[in-house]
Amino acid sequence: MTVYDDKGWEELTPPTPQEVEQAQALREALEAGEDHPDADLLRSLRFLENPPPLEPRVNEWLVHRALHKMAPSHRGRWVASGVAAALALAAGVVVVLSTGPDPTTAPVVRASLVSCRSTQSLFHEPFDRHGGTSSRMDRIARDRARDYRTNLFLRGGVQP
Amino acid sequence: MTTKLIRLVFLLGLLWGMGCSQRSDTPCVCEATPVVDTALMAFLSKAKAAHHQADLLEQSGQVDAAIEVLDKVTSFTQMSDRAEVREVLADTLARLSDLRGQRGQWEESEADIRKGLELAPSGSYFEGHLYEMRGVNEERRAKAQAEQGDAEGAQTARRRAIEAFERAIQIQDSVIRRELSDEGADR
Amino acid sequence: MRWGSENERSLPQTSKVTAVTPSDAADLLDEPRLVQRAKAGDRRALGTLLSHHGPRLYRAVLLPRLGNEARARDALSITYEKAIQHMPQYEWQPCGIYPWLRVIALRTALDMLRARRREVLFDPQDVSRELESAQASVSSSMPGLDAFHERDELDAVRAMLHDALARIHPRYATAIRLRILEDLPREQVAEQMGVTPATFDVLLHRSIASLKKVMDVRGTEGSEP
Repeated sequence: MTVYDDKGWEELTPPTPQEVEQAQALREALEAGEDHPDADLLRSLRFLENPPPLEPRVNEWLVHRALHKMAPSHRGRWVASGVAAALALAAGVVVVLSTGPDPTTAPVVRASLVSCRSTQSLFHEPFDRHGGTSSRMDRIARDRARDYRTNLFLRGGVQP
Repeated sequence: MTTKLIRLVFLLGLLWGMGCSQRSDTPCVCEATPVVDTALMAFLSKAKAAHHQADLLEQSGQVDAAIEVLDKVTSFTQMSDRAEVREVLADTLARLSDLRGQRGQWEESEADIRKGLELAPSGSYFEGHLYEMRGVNEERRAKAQAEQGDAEGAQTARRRAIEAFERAIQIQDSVIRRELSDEGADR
Repeated sequence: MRWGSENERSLPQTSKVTAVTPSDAADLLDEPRLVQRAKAGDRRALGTLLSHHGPRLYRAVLLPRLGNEARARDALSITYEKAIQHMPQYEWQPCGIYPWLRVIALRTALDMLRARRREVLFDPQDVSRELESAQASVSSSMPGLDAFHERDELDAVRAMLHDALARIHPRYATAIRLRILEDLPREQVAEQMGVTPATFDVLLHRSIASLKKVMDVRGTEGSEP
């Protein structure tokens, strides 16, 4: 049996003020890419229909991180010298951190961050003569929000 | 032997630290391209909000107020090294030009187009759209001048409109061709 | 297998992308040898295997089930760590290492689904059943065909969505399809459906409520507030 939730769409029941408010909140969350239970659920549908690929640099970063995190420990006789060497290197790191650039922009990470670039590839047909600018702004902001979250992630494993 | 090794590593560690901390201000080659960051997102958010606000104002017939809102976006002159910022500004200028054209502000609308063309990437929909908007405004101008009895002015505006539309079509065609060939290459 | 994806053209450019090198790719032609090296502690071989199979685990297993890119990336990271940790215990199977990695990924996804109070279309029980089936396949060395083809894996999750959309009012399904799956602008969808944008907002709101009802979607139980 087909289950229809609404009782006759053809005669759409007028929305209650509360429903209008909820619909508006959903619309805003969808457009702004903000957290909202229903917006999150709707967005998750895209990942069922056509999940985007994992960006290669993110994959390489995750592999790199996992390999280093799970590195085997040194042999016992090297532990003492290893600790001493680590302390020495840490001294160097302290000097870097106290006077050097922000570690989150260190080249090794920065090199993998998503760069600014033309938005032309987001559009596949000439723009309408009138109107549509707001939709283009939405599209650009939405696309770059994704890149921005990726960059946050790459910078420090921050939960986007 | 071990003591010597530790000393050596300690020294190297310190030297490395000092060397890095005294790096020159010259950016590394990998830092040359700006990345998608908070500043860019803030700008995009501002532009998005301004355009939606302008939509509402336009819908209620308040074109001057819409122009004022969009002017605040285009007065932003920083971060011009970011492609997204240049394109958003170019698109906003095209819209401003359209709105000013509706008000008969011919010189101002043409100034928007010129500014937009400096920002839009060559051979893009953004550039094509700006030329199209120039055509629209020249067409409006021709009509207005004809109504005022300025036949010669109207004729000149009409010619400029045709040139602008032709240029727009030419650019859009080249973008479409490029798109199709890219798709073909992907197959 | 072609490296990259159909969306490669639109991928953001970066200053530097560390990718699997051609020699690694050549190594993959000999996966048993690569696995042997990885089991012996060869980090490069391990990295090559994970780099190769990770994107598929993310796209076909983790992202559809977790419904969020950040969570799927976290899950992939955990999957990699578990795979590295348990690699010495892995026994080579003729079907390759992917089914084994897939089991780890499914288990990770299940743990995350159980630990979070999120609304998702995938029920932890569904994933649990998938996991049991995947484990049985791996242990019997006879993985199902779906384990070999990414397209089949993707089709299976797509079918779940289409089935859900078929169970709600066609107008609701159209609203979700056009606005969400095809990502068309709100105004355009409203026009196409013959309603005002404001009415469309209500329509979409009712659509998701209806979808949740037929899917029996609820926040998964867990300790997270």
